[in-house]
Amino acid sequence: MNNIILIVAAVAVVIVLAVIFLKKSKNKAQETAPLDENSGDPELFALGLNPVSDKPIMYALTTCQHCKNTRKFFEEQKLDVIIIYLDDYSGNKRAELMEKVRTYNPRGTFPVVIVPGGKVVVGFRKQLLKEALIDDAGRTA
Amino acid sequence: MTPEELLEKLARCAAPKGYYLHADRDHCLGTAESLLANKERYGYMCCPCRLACNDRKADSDIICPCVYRDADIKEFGACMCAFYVSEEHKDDPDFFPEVDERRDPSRGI
Repeated sequence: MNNIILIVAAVAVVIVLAVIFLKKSKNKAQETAPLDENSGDPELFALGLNPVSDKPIMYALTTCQHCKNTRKFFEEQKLDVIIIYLDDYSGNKRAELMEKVRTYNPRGTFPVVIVPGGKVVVGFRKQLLKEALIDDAGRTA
Repeated sequence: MTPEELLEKLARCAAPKGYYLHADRDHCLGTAESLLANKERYGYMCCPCRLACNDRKADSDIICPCVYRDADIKEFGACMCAFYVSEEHKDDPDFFPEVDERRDPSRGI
């Protein structure tokens, strides 16, 4: 009888250890798994690398509150702005877009708004955005 | 974990150090949602205001709370995301200072 209890206990211990091991392996795999290299819109990616447009272009992150506030400001002002979310891309695409962002903002912070005519506004700065996108609209840059 | 639960946990951890979550509740909830989104995406709660490398070691300095938080709060009264603030600004929902990025540009992507 004692032998049977010992065997059952041993099997239970082995199962628990196996479950813990499998969970750890799964977590590790999730941590190191590369993001989908094909993610993100290819047209926006191309525009991000060569930002030539008659509309303002904003480089942003989907997770950044300052970016969300800037987007909200554009919506309130009914401004048509193209938004390129860098975290929608992965691997080389993400790196290439970031390199482009650093040409406009060497510190690499978000958001970065490129206004037609050449002005660049970094961060959620309502007054600067208003001046660049509304007050200066129609003037020669 | 819900964003509300995360906020409660982070506020509890920050208070003994003299830091507080921003007084704008919606701003904090949005940040908490983003932290959970990054946890799901990368496996760790990377700073939602910075672009992650998807490499825990390379991103170690920007896992929230980032290593720059203390200096940012000391100099500007808030961290770069305006998620954590100093005691002086803990009741001000409109406090969104411009915080200079301290991170070395050569780090990360």
